[in-house]
Amino acid sequence: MAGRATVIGTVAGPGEDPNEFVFVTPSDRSIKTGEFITYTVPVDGENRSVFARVTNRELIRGLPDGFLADPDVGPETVAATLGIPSDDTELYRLTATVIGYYDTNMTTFANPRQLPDPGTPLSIAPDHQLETVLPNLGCETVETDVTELPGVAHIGWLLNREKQATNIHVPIEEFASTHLAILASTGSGKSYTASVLIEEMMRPSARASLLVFDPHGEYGTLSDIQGAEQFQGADGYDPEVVFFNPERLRVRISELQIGDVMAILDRSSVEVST
Amino acid sequence: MTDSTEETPTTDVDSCVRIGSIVSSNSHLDYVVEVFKERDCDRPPELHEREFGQPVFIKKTIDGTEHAVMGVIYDTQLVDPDQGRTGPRLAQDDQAQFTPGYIEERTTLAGVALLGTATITDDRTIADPSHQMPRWTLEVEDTVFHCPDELTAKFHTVDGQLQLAYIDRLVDIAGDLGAEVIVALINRLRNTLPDDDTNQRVLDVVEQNIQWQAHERRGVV
Repeated sequence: MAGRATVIGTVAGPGEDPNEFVFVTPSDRSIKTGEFITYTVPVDGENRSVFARVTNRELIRGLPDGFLADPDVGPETVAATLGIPSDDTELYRLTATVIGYYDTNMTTFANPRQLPDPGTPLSIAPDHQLETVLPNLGCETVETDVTELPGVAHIGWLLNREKQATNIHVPIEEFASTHLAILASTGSGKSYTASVLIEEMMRPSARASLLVFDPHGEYGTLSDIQGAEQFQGADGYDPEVVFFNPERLRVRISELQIGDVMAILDRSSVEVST
Repeated sequence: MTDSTEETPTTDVDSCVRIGSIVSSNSHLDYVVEVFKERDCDRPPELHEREFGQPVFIKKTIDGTEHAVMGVIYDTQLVDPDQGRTGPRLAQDDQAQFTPGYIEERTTLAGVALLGTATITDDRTIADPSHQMPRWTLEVEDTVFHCPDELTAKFHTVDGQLQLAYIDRLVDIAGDLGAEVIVALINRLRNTLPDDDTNQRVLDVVEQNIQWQAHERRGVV
């Protein structure tokens, strides 16, 4: 377990939910909401690193609101006038929800069913551990280097961390063999995420065959994959992209089955009649 | 109401008006001062010189260095030993006052809360103000001096920054009148600062806070 230097807060006690606990941090250890933290707990005689996620952050000690009465006068000036030390006085109370510890036998998260004791030191979950255990990659140890694994799609990194600090690799088989829906609000990057997934699936390590229906014309740039250096495998693999735009789509009457013709005729007759 | 000190304001700690002398104390920071009357000194303090919220100081020499222990009048009390001991009134028409008694024993006591300390410099002004609790105990019969506004302003400027770091202790000692004594001090400081000084705004915020807390405590809001 990491030394005291990496400790970012101390557990204060249980929270409202059975899987929730509350901890306190000083202001200089800025913890973002959504951050992954870890603590050690003995499970079956073995120390386990339990992961938890910060869900809320509130100020429990700080300068009173009355010091903010005048926008032109900073609260720290008022505090200095009254001889109140304003450096590092803020204390934050954070709520975290336990995710569990990574059970290497079950290759998934297991709930320790016990909250950390008050006073337990908490650390930021190390990047490489999160990379290994956060998506269900079925790693047998938490030390596995996920970039070495076959058939994983690198979809990005955690926003809470530094750029490219904690890279998230999703097993392609997991979502390609079943269903995948990307749900988010407009403009948040659903199409971009889909493009990233497509690109990852086209890499030499995955070599998927894909058919993209693109009524909005969003994925035209994917044709750049063909011939791009990073997509070429050592064994000569090179993805082929065939791009059909509306002008290119021609259907010969002679290629249609009778049923197809009937369907077209039936539809146009309906349109004529209306 | 005119007197020499009013006309020629001075920051000379030796020419400040004597207000009274210490007669007892309630705690390490809370002293009782008997205000000088006509017969106690050459120039007893005028009423406005010993008013509520008036900063005062007591000179103390500690380890060879002369210090000014700063304080403020946060309360006053009238004492009349004769009260309740009214004998037969002997006054006659031709002699308006014949009340054998101890008129001279009627005194005004002032409560003085200590705020901090400063050193007295060779040019008889103060320097190095500190709003920490004074560690030294004052003595009975120590003379308490009226602190002119110039010295008050100096005492409240620590490292170029306006400060009233004693405020929590003062609120504790002054009790119910804590807010009022602080507001009185703030008003005094305001008058020593130019109108457009940024510290005026800071004082506004501090005053607002203190007032609001007092209103809350007294159940007004």
